[in-house]
Amino acid sequence: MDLSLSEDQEMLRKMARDFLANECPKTLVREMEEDEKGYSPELWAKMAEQGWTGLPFPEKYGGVGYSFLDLAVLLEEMGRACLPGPYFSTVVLAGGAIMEAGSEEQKQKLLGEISEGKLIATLALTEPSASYKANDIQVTAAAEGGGHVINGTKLFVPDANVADVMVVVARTGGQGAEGLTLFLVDPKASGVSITQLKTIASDKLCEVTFDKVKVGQDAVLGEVGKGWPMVETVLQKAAVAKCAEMVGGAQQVLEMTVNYSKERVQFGRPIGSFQAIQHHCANMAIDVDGSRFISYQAAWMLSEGMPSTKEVAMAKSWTSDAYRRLTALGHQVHGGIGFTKDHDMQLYYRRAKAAEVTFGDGDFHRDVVASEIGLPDPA
Amino acid sequence: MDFRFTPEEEAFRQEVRDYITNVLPPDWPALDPIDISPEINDFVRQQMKVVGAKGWLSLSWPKEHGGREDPMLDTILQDELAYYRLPVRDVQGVGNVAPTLIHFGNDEQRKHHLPTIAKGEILWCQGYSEPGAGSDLAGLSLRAVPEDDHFTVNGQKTWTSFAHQADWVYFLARSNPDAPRHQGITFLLADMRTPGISVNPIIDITGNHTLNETFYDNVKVPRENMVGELNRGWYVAVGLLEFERSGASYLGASRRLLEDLVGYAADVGLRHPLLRKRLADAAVELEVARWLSYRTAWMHQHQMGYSLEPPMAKVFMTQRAGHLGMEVLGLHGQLERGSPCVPLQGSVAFLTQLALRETILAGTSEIQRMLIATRGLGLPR
Repeated sequence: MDLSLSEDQEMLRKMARDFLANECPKTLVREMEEDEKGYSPELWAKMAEQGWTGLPFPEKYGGVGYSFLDLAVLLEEMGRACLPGPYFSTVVLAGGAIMEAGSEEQKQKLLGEISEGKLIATLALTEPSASYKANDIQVTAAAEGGGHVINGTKLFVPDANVADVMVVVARTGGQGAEGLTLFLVDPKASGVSITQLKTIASDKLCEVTFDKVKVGQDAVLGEVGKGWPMVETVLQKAAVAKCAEMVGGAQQVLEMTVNYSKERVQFGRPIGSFQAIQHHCANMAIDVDGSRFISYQAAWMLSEGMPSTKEVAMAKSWTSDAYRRLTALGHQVHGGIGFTKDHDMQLYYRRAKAAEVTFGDGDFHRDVVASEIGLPDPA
Repeated sequence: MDFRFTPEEEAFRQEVRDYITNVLPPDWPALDPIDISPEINDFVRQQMKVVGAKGWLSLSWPKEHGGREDPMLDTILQDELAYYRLPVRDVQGVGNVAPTLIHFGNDEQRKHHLPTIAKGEILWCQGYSEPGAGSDLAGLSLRAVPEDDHFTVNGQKTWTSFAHQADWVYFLARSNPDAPRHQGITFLLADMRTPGISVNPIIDITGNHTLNETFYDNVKVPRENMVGELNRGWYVAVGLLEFERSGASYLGASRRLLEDLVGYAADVGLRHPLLRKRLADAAVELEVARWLSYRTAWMHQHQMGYSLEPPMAKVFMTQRAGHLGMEVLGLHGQLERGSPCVPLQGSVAFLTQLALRETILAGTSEIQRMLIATRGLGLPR
């Protein structure tokens, strides 16, 4: 058993923390919330120079060849800094899908471009049903003239507004998990329209509609009709990657709150000397540590290629709820000031709420856990 | 990172399981078995010696004192013993007295007491709480007047678990009433057969007798039974508190309860979505608690210090057991041991009541949170 990060991971963490402290101050985070694109191309280029955009991809595709666990370490720091922009969409979602499903040629080209920082990508999976289940995929791709024609609506697609390519999950036939195919679609293609949603975290989720969008044979990622298992793998990693971000945010909220309660004086004493505040802080510390270990366990298992359906579901169900509890307690300790737009607390609370429901909320994953521990199917 | 146990640790866990399942009588009570009958008590005392002979009662001790210097194995042992409800690792002797003597005792004391603890021959009890000193332990008033070669002890302790069975007691006494209160306390050991010590049972909500009042009437405690320096006992006790809270026994007990409940739900065909959610919730909490506990052992193994870790596991483990069982069993959950139609040998009704104790014993949840906040997070007092 070794519950510590390796030396290299510690170094990655420190570099990331220093880099983001310099390059991603909260002024940038706030600016990007209002920004049309939602990210800074200059920062993106610097991140690519650091090797971040190619971090988890094998060197033969132009990446750095780090593990998923290493990626989790980086994502934790990104969550701590509230890094805005399409890193998650590009590297975890689209990059993950391309790694899982892409042909050698597709990987060479696309992962190479992502690693160089030249390509922004995303995954168009969920639809107005807001479901992560295969059954609910209704966007269709009909075979036509050697290619396909895509029709339908995707919703909650992150960063489609700035993506150079989208991985679109569409139904080419069949039912449920059968007959789902991944397509590479140019967001500027004829028939694609993209509308930005307004979200609680001020991130860039989009509605993407496909109106008779024609794609060629080369647009298929992997095999026709065999896309869902790939999506499931990507979703598992995405859920845990989101947990890593949440752990970073949670750690930062705890630190902010503890510092504030040492400094803020009321009734002639620092409020941190009051037991009510101490208990809030203790509960927050428990939630941070709990989230950290259960999330890193899942990240480690995925990294090692071990079966981890139960552990992934445990991590996301716990961390979703814990981050919500913790940010709420942090606000309670901060009192009125934390509730203001000028204060950083609200940045975390809004992101916690968005992260809670993304890639399955607590109940979604508890249902998986229930089956994994051997409970009978629900009535 | 590596979240696996080593092959040696896995093998040890299996060895413990094999030992327990071989030796445990088929009708072993599916709940905390202490004091159900003299036969069961005798069996536990006899098995203490068996595990002692295996070297399992000194697993985390330094090698120079005959241990294996492996807190991870000790944690695994506690986890498994609690799972099977076989309380043969004396929490007080193995968990508290031994590490205290190793850290703060002198050679004579170690030579005298460590072997009997390691062999499972001696049961210890703890004399800390008093009627007027619970969470605020430093307010204790049991007097120990230092005289030539002994202390004369007068006063009362309470909540003394297993005082009626224990052979020895370690306790804190006020040796200098004029000093600031943390600086007038001495840490003492006494043979429970010493004239003047008497024990009075306290029956708890479950109907069990584990707790006692202990009275000291002109008890003469030899000077050599003082651990650490005169009037410095508080600091010995504070050091000891850190050994008391890895939470592994809560872990095993909770794991067993959850497995029993999931098994029950599967057998009876409970399919209500809300019930699934609650059990899944408990499974997730248990997994979190598992890492908080084993992290403590892992830190101990690597001598990384404790800060806020030990209290965390306990706060966590003790919040859960109270209500889950009754939620799953519904009306059947109220049936007690020995009742017709009782599921799971009445463990649920028992644990539902016992849970009240677990958030209080060895530092209430509130005290634990205060420790996390002040010692762990550095908040002002």
